Amino acid sequence: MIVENRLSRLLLLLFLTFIFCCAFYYLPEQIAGYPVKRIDLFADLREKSTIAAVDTLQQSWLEEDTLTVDSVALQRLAQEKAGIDSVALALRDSLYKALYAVEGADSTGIRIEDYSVGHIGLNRFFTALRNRTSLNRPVRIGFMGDSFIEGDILVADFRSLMQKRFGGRGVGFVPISSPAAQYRPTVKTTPAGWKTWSMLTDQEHAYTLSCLTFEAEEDKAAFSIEATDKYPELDSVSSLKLIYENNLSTQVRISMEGSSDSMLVNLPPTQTMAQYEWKGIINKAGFSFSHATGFRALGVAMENEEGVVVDNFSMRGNSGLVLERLDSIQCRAFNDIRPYDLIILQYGLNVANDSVMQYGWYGKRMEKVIHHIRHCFPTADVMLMGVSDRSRQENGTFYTMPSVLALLHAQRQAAKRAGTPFWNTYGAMGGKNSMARYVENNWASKDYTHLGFGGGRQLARILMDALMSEMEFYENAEQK
Amino acid sequence: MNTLDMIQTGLFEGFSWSKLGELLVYHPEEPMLFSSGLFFCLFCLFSLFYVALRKHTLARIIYVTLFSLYFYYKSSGLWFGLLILTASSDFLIARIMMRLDETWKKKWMVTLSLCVNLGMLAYFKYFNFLLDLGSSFLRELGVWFHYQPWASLEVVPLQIFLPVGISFFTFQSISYVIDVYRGRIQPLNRWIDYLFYVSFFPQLVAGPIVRARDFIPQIYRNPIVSKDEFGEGIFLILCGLFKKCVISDYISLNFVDRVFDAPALYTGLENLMGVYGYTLQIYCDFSGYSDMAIGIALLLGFRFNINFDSPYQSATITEFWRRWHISLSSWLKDYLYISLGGNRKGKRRTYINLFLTMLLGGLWHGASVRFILWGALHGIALAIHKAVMSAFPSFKKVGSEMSPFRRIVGVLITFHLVCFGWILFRADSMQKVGEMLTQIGTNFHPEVFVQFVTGYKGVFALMIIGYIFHFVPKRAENYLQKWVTDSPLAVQAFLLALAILVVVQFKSAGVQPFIYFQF
Repeated sequence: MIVENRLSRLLLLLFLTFIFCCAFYYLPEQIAGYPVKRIDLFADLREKSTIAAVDTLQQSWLEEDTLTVDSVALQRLAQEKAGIDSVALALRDSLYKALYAVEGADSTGIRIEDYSVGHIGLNRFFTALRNRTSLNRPVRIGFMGDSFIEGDILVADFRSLMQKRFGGRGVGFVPISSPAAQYRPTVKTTPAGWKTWSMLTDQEHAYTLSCLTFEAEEDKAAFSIEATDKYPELDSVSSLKLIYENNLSTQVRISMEGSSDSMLVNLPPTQTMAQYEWKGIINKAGFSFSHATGFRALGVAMENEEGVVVDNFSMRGNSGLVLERLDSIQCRAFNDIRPYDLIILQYGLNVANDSVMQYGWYGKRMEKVIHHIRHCFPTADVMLMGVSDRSRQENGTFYTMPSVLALLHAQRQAAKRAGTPFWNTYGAMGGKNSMARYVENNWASKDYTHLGFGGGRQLARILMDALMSEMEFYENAEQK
Repeated sequence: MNTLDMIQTGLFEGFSWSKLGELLVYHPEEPMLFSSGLFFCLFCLFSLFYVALRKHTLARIIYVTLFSLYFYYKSSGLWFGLLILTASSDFLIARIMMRLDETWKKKWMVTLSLCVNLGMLAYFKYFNFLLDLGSSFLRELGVWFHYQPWASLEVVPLQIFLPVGISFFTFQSISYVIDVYRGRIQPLNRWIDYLFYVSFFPQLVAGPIVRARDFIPQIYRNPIVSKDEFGEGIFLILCGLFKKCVISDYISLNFVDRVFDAPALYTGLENLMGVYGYTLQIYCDFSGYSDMAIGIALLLGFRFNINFDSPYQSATITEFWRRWHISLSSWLKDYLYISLGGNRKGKRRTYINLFLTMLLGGLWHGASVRFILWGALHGIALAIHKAVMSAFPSFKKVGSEMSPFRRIVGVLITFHLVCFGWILFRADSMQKVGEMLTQIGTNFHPEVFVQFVTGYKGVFALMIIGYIFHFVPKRAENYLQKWVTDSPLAVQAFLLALAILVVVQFKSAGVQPFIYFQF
């Protein structure tokens, strides 16, 4: 049998395929509502327009961001806050410019960009740090954020760096229940018999920083907590606090490691918020609740009454905007039992959308959020973190999503208008396409959005350095 | 629509010809894959001269070899020298061996070849692993015997480049030397012919492992491609593109990798889906690339043996290894298991040989304890199956000999055993393995299934499609292949272009963000 040899047909096949591919280059951008990526056989030979566009955007926004605002309202706010007159504030500003030869936006995240008049945005925090030995309480930082810091990513390392430098022990506040509890290496918790209320889905209850409250199921509620030795500052603490609200006559039986007996405590009743504290050398405790009708707990804190405590208030899917609804009475009650000196806001990933380039509305509402938090926590400084880098895929390669830059710009504008310190997370990661590098180094997750523990460690170090260099300025300014 | 998306430009607009030169040189982070635009363009050019040289054997051999070396250069830079070195040394060893009469001398030559090939493999692939193993052993000893210099031993791993495909071409070359020793083939006369065999680009970087005795006879005949082979080649390329660039790449990026990176963040159900996903992913990745290699070779007039035969349809673990990465398992059987004595030295030795073969087979996949564990698991399973079969004659070797009910049960058990193996294979630490199993065992949350399906629509759909294609009977596959074969050339070309279009859509698809399930 003679076999027809089709080898030469290969050429025709390849030629036709090539022609079809070239034809597909002219496909419309959308077919039946779905976006279509065209076949571009010569993509590697072309200058990439999207990437060039990211550069241009970055440049133009950075220029705009670098302009300083100087409104009368801000000035009044600053004066009220610091109790110093406008001349002294102007002097501080010019001193900062003279010392660091910079002002306004920082594309590297090495500095904290302080948009308060007179550069006093972190005054309360640094004053508390300086006077920490005479405070009779720890200097407390509330680290608010979304899934980016879930599992104590970034915060765990930041806490450890802070505690190494300024003393203090313990993981701080821990909510009763969290979907990422198993993933969190800094504390082990086991809840049972609680109904979770979340500020994201519930309008009924009054919320404070944790944005969560847990309602006890009658006589079934229990909770256990155990410190870990993931960081040397965590394995044991001198104070254990149960933070609760709406209590009539709840009894709690607590057992701690080291003592074979358990204690039965009648929790003092409260309409708003209260805490019950146990002292000792504590690394593990179990609680079981009875007569708990209507009783709601927020969480448990493990800490020492000295140095620095950093509370992680992360909540998946939170854009930060719900914080407008923080209940000011509840927050002040919370602040009375747990005073805060700095509240850091890390949000934005849940807003960044590849197809949206306008985030002015978000900036305006975040500005309100900042004002509201100041109102709720009048003794704390508020610092806003910019959105982190996030990638999108183009022809199998990952590039910075341009909308990240748009959002960063809106956040920075919000910080400016609110006159509050701002830290450029995107810049600290390394700016353009840094998320791709983080994933390559195994520092971030493959969704090109979230950090891993390795990435958290990097960012925590840069944040710590930025804060310390800022503190140095405050010390210099005090001396002058 | 995003304002930043590319403004439509003409097909030839915006060219920067300086980029062409850049594109043609070696970039470590961009190996040349069959699915890249560059490969397609180069292959078009290559084919032009290949067809022209079809009746000039020597010129064709030199031409293809040069192209293969360039192909290797694009993936591994100057390490293509290593490829030439391997080929040259084994070519010479085989030539010398042919002239020797005494068996012991021949044995020495085989040993020399093994030393060269395995030594290279040991250095490039396993050096840091062995260094780490050795230093931790010394540290343990140091602690035991209170010998401080050993107890505090710190070893910095060396920066060693791993030349692409080294595991494949060294195994090919070993098969040639052993076959010459066993008298199964005559050694080649021309160095270039042997270099052609070792470097032939379709199977160079990711297999299949082609045996010299199957391949070498095909070098000398003028390439002939029948209508069926032509159709089969196109069909295999289409399947390969879909498996590798659509299913495997998409589900790994958008789901599987995340679960394996942080199993504790996901419910048991998601972990189980992650395992099923990875099971499909590794098959599609490996077999998809093999399919493309076999398809491209077929279009050039070379026939490689089938490398994956719907392995998850296997009803026993023995059958699985006859259907999974066949070129490797048959290589291991012929050159390792049989060299160890196979089943000729009694029952106990047979089991030990089987276990050792699988252990080393596991290690072949990469320098890590987890691959050894994976190999050990399969070795033990194979040995148990062999023992059960000899004790109970009702247990059969393959599914086709079983009753339908037994076969279905067998497929389910085998599939899950293999899945369990993949956890060991993929998870980067034993801690992660533990976390996955704990989540699946104690934190399953079946109620999130609906959320999983709606949240990961694309991933779920591709997994379903992937498994359906895997489990359809051979008849359906043959029918489809025949349809492609009988289609006019323009339709065949259109199908290829369409496949490329689909691949491009998936390559630029937005990354699926994390989804958190409420439970």
